[in-house]
Amino acid sequence: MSRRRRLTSQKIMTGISVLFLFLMILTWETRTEITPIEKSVAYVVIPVQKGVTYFGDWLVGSVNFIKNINELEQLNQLLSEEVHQLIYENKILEQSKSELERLRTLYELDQRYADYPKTGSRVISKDPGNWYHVFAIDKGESAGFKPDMVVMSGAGLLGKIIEVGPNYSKVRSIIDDKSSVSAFIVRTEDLCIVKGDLTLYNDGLLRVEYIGEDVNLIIGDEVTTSHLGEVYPPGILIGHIVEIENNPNRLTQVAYLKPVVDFKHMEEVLVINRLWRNQ
Amino acid sequence: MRKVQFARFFVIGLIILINLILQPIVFQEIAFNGIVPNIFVITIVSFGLLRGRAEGAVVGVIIGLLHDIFYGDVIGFYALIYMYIGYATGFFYRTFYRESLLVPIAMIGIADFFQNFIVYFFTFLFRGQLKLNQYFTMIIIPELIYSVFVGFILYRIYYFINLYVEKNEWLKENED
Repeated sequence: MSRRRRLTSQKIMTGISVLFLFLMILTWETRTEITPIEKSVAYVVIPVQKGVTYFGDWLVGSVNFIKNINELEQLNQLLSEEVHQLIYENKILEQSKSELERLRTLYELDQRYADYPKTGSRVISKDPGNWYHVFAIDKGESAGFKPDMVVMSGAGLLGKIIEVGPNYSKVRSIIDDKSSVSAFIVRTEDLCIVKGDLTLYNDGLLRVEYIGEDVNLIIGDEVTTSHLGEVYPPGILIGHIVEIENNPNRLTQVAYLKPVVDFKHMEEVLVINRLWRNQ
Repeated sequence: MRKVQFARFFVIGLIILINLILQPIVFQEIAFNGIVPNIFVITIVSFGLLRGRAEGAVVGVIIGLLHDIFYGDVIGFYALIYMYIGYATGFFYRTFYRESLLVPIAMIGIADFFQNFIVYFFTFLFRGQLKLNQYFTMIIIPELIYSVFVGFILYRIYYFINLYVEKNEWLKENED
């Protein structure tokens, strides 16, 4: 009896294994569109995840509020002084901006630096494992998001949408091991590739590859997205060079870059609500 | 008999849902040096050890499929790994004292190591990332240690939940 049961269970296991292998081959590279089954699962799980995230944020926020109430008063005073300073500086900047706009129209560069339309969104969950840096945000198809849309966080590039559900989207950040971005070193006007590397994650760095041997890099160089990218629009800041590797026998240089986005503390992100290049 | 099974299904469903919420949200907040404990593996191993091969494999498949749907690149990869973890740990069902923690802790450690090694092998080694020792010291070993610590607590919780459900089932069966 027991031998018989074991045999059938083995058969079931093999059957399911073959089925999953078949599914894996079927879904290889075609995971930007999701199936109705996945959608129905998302309708149950995403609202719960959203609720838990909001509750957690609220809890942490209220605990911090009580903890920091004394510091807050001091901080308030400091900040109000700073605001006055900034208002003054802002006025100067506004003047320069109008001047800049005038000059841009003169050179017809407006198109290149156009403001991209953006939509705000909240991070609701992160990849459960430690190998990938994929996270979910709380808007999807209903907000008009599509795969390959670019995600930013404040000052810099964060990643791109890889999958869109009805009420959520999955974002692969640029620190993910599978991510690589065509980039541009602003000072020297050279092209390079910025790649995520898991072994550099703890140092919070990204690898910059394919820099020409003759490029004279300096620590602190600004790196932005390049005009060659299929997905990323040009001119979005990625980060600054912090380390240059010396390897005289190679044809290209390798450097390390510190991104401007803080990947360990992300709550709100901005999604550029337009595909850069229609494929 | 129907009612008995319904209670068990309900408990399993609830545990899986809680796992699915805890792992990507709450456990990210207690990440130690960027490393998150893997409570999916802890849950699957606990079910395999407490309930046997079949239930271990079923729970593994469900959690794995949900993992694939929300975070995976292909459907079926994690489902397959988790199914085999649940099935394999199920062989130790009723071969040890469930109150003792040695076997569960060892199994959680082995399963977590196995899972991470497979993930490394198929998704990193195949892309030419060869620095195995670096991945070992940075991810596999820290996650193993952290998972074992969390598993220490979580297994006890599952043990008591299971005890409660089994007791209720036994009472209801003997009623008829």
